[in-house]
Amino acid sequence: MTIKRRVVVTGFGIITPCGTGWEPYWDAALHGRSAIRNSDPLGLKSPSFKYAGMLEQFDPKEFIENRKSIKLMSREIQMAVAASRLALKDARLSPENYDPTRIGVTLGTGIINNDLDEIGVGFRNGLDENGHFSMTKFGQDGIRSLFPLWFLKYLPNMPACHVSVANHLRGPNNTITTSSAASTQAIGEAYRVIERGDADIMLAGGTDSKLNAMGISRFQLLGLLSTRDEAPEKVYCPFDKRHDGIVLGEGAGILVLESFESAKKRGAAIYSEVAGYGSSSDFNYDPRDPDDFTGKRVAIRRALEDAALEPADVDVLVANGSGIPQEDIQESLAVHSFYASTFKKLHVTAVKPVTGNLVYGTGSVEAVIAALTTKKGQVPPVANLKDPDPQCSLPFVKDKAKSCPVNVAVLNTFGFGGQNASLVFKKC
Amino acid sequence: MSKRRVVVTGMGAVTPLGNSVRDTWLRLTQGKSGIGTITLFDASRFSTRIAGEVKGFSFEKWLERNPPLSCASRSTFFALQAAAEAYKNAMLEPLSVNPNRFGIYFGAGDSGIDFDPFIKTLVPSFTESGGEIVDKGKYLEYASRNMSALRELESQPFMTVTHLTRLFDIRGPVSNCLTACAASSQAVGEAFESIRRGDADVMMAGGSHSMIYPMGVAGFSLLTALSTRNDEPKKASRPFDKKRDGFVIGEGAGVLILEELEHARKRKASIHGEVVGYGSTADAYRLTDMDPEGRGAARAMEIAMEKACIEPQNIDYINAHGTSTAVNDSLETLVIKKVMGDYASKVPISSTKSMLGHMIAAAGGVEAIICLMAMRDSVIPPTINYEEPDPECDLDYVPNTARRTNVNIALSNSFGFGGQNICLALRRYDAS
Repeated sequence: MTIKRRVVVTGFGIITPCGTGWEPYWDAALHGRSAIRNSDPLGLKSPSFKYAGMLEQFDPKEFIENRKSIKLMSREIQMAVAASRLALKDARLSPENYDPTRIGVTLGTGIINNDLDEIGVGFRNGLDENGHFSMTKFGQDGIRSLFPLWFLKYLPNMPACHVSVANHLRGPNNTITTSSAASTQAIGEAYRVIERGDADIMLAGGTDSKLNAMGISRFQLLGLLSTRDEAPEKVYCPFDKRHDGIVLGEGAGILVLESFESAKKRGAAIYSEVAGYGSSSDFNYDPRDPDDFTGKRVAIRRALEDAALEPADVDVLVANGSGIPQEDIQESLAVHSFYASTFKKLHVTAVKPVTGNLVYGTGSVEAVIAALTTKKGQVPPVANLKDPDPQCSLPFVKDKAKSCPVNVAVLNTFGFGGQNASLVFKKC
Repeated sequence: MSKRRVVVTGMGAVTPLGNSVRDTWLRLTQGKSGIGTITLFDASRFSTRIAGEVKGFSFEKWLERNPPLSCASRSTFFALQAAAEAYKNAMLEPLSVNPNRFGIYFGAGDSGIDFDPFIKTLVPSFTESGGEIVDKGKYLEYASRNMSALRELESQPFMTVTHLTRLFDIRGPVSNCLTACAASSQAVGEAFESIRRGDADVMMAGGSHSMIYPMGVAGFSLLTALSTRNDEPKKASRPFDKKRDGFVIGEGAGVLILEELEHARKRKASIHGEVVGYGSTADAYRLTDMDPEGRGAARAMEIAMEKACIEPQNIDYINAHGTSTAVNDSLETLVIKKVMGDYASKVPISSTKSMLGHMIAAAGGVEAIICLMAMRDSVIPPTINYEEPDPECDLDYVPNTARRTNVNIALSNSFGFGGQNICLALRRYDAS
């Protein structure tokens, strides 16, 4: 019988609107403090887009020595490389003490949106004398006015490639693109890679920023953004009666996953153990149908089965809590149907209001919260939750953090489009 | 307890050479090229005006039956068609597999920007002067009027998988990876691992992609990666030939049904072959160049062989990544020599990209199918357009005509732009 290798978390590297590193993020989460602000610094001049969780202080030069390589990096890539540096440092890993062929990368990323000013040059040179776009003019004059390596900044696999290049990581390398579930799946897939012995250490997580014109326009078209007027730090309120959609954020998170033997051998500090992972797809066509929660329920069940645990073993659930009303309701129904008998013991939290919704990157930072609850025995409150939506009746942690022993924490991440992923973290 | 064995019971393909495995395979063995002048948009002033387009594909057939597909991307349709063929080929039906034990690991590519509405939004948003080229406030305003929410959603790579899971009632594990040119090979490898681990009994795997759109062709052109042999499209993709000058973009989908051996035997499915090895590594060298020593690619091949418990002399065929770029083909030759040692000059190697072009994320899935067909028919498809030997590429590339020979074990290489290397090991199924 093959014995499965145990996998533990030995480092965190995150860049969020709360600041650099996991400490300011954890502190903000514990205090239910949102980093969402008025979106003026983005310079969008759009009356319809008011609030966002932005990285205002982020300077890639602090993390990346090779200045020339920064030119090849979109913001998403810069954040991911910075997060990878922080993660390795936090895990006390440096090229001198790891075998580069036994350490790999799995990140969750989506389509990286083009910078409109960058590609705009090419399209403007593709206009004919009447100011109309002409494909022949674009072919002749437009294309050659683009930055020759422009394309490389926007391929979805590039964050994982840059992270491997920047840190000399020559093990397995993968990029998962399953919507908002992508980063959580990336962590789950990396866990499998170590478990089966293909690597000893994996950097896993994700990166995303939709705080650009192309990204925001998609969310507006899909009607997924909150449009309420309220103080910026109060506006994003999953599971609350007032919930009316997403507030976008940006950031990146990378966890250092490591085989238990490897961590023990080098005497690494362990934050938590990754004990289970499950994924599924929603089965109905209409993602807006609040009654269809079977897919979400299956992901939750699969992750617990993978960890050989029962619902009653779970102390903390870091819910997806996107703030989209029908998604919050679906998730509540799924959680209710699975955990109802254990509600006396279960603590449910949701942390998206702290940073804004990181979309493809969301699981990468929320996994840090789930893992830390097992380490610290503290559960952050659901920020901005005053009156829960009556259809979302879960045992939420409200107003302030709860201190209690946490042996098992589960993270739910659901993507629109119907991708579901759950991870189980165990105290180690 | 030994690991669960994983076999292939279904295959489906949509390629520049045909809209089924049968048609594609027939033309591959005849050494036909699927490359032609671009018709999908006006590329007349682009430096590269050729590609391998899918031809005669019936989008209507899918639309009639499935109204929710009205805004689906081109490559999603290819994926559905190839998946339907693979599903049928595997003789699957709703009752033959428990949907909760039926998963998917796919390598679906993105479909670029929805071009016309984008232009309609962008052009009026140009600023008159100043550092900013585009007024973002105006862009957001015009986008809300000109763009279609559903088309924007469908352009995301995960939507292909969403459609596949719904149409084929796939309720097991779900994932989609997008590792450039290695994506669908990686998806097959990961699906293989899922079944071995016991997470599913049946997995749909493979990929779909079309990058034959203005920004795709422009992007690769600027990287000087594409062939500009516009006057001789059928001769443009010439892997390992001395006069190769870049790759030719192809499009399509390749889908495999992977199944746990006992599950396949119980339902008396016909078995096309066995997946026995999968290696994944990164170059971690430089974004714009492959590692000149090919260490990552060589290691991926070695890992696949180690997992499969095979030695170089056991290998009967290598389906090369063979893109027809100057660097890839000489470096891949070096890598094969490094891994295969003395046996390198004896193993037949071919690049089917010479005929299909480079189907990017979809390439590896189709190439795995080609390896299995080579086993079935004991025929190795050729590398066409091989006219002038390159001293740096001095192995047996099965030039220009297919070769009849027994194939029991094959390797399929896929190397992604940015340095991901994937190798799959496939083996003829032996019932004993």
